[in-house]
Amino acid sequence: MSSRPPLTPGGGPVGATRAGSGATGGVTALYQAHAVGLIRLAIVMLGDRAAAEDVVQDAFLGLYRHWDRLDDPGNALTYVRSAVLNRCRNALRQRGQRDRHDRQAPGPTASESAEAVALIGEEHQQVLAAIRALPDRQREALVLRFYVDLSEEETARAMGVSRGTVKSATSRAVAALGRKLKEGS
Amino acid sequence: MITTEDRARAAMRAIGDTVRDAPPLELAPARDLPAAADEVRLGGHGARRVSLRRPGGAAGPGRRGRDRRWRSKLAPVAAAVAVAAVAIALVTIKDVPNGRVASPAPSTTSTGPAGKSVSIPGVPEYYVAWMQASTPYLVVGNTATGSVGAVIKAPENVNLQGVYGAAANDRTFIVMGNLVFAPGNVNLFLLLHIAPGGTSARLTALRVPVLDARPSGIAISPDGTELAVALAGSPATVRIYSIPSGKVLRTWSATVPGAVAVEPAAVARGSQFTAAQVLRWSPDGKRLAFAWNSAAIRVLDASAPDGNLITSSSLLAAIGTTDNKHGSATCNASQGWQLIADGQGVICGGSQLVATPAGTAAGGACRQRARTLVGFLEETKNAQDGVESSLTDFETDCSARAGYPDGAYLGWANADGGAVIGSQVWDGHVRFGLFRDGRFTPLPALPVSVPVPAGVLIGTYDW
Repeated sequence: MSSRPPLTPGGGPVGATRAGSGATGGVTALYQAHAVGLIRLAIVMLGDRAAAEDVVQDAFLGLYRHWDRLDDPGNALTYVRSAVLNRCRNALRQRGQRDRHDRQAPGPTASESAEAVALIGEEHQQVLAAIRALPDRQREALVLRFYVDLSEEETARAMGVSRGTVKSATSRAVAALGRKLKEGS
Repeated sequence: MITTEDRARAAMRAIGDTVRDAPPLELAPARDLPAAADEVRLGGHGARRVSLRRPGGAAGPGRRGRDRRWRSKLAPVAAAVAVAAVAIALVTIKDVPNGRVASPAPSTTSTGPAGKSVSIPGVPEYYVAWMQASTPYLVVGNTATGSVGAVIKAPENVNLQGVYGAAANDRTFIVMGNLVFAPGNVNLFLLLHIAPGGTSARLTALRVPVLDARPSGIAISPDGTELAVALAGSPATVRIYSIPSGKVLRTWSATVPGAVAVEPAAVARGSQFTAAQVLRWSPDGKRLAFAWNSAAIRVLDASAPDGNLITSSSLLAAIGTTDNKHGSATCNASQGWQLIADGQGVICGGSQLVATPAGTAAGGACRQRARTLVGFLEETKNAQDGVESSLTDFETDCSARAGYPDGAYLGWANADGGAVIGSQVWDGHVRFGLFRDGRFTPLPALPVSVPVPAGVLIGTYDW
């Protein structure tokens, strides 16, 4: 990630080809480059395609609104990735509240895409449900380190924590996940 | 032993891989282009759409590949010859993705030098060449004047991958690009709009979703409003997108078993992969044709509802390699093809192996008299069986095999297949231009690589 050249407000990878400029060009270019990866990140967190897309859209909308406040457009990806994580966290909390209200059992919920469940199989779904049941920090550290393959430093930046916190959160996440899977088997 | 970490990685990859594209960025159309960027809207599959900025300103029974007729001007593939300084470029001419093009080697041109006016009614005025270089770029050529009108550089951080045909106005071309520094594979659709006169052109990103897999076929509709995209794999998928909105309008797909059930030719010919390759719109924009498994051309009603790609389509013609009374002929979809005869047939680039009784070749070195010819051939439902050849300058080929990348590459053909813009490649010789009425008129393309770049030609199999 650090080797990626910074995006410029006037146009990133694709923005240079467009009539638009400034925030429009920068956001558009960033979206073109990273939307798929960010939706994948969000669907790992949420298990639902539509919700994942909404989260990513909201994150880019936030980026667009705050574009002028970015000190360095090269940090735009870090910003939007953090925004996706925050929104996923909120979505999971809202889902948990709704589930509790509905007295539904934890695990895959009605809001998770039936299609996704069918596509990936029951075993993977159990693992993902266990990941989603982890505390926020542990879940995010696990996903960023083992799915997005970010370095500890990049993960720390995305989560807004220290490298040491990332290390401990990741370690605890793996241990907790192992226990949950063992209990479930 | 599978660790917890491994299980987590596998599960996350499994669900992550279900996402192959992103909803479009919706951009307000400019006056003359389907997509510009005065407005950005981020849309999702759901109902939610957030506005970021206000705009400021065939079918029938398939004949098993027996109806083949060679167009005139076939070129020979001779035995190994030292590769001369040959200039190669890929050019896409109207309605043909990355039609094969090369700069004509002076020694291989036959009628008139490049640069001389060859204005011919019915022949598209502009073509666009994808030029291989460390940073590939595009060149706009004029078929009437033989001149190069504009050179288009790649956008920053974008690697241009090819040109995939044009709309009917002959000034709007679809271009594929790939982000250089993006993680994974991020493929972008761009639109190239040539200004009247052909001296300038504009490249604009489309709202069509980005893809993480390179399409096996791309075609823009004649009216420039829809984009057809084929994705290989199982299931193979063909989608039609709205160019103004970026939304998916229709989707068809088919799996390997389904394909086998209805396309036995693919099995007989040993096709190893399932893919809808190389898309073509009919001139009226009502039908969409695709090459299936390199063994058949099938035709879809472009307005048909979502469904199975095979059962929704009908077989127009068999392609691939088939035996005939002269030897065997190969119509290679990846070398370009186009619907002709009001959608009742196709013309494609290919080769013909002609075997003759054993004898001694001119040089005395060969015992077998056989030759491989490269040229354009037609397959129509009602054509007569057999091969009609009009050969010039043929030579004996001791090996009787076309060497890689020998072949004819079709970029554009008129409605009856009587005029073709394309190229022939044999033994290091390349000529690109207009083939019509038994005559070849060269068109300009810039030198890019010596010898023939393998990567360029491999790329044709992705078209």
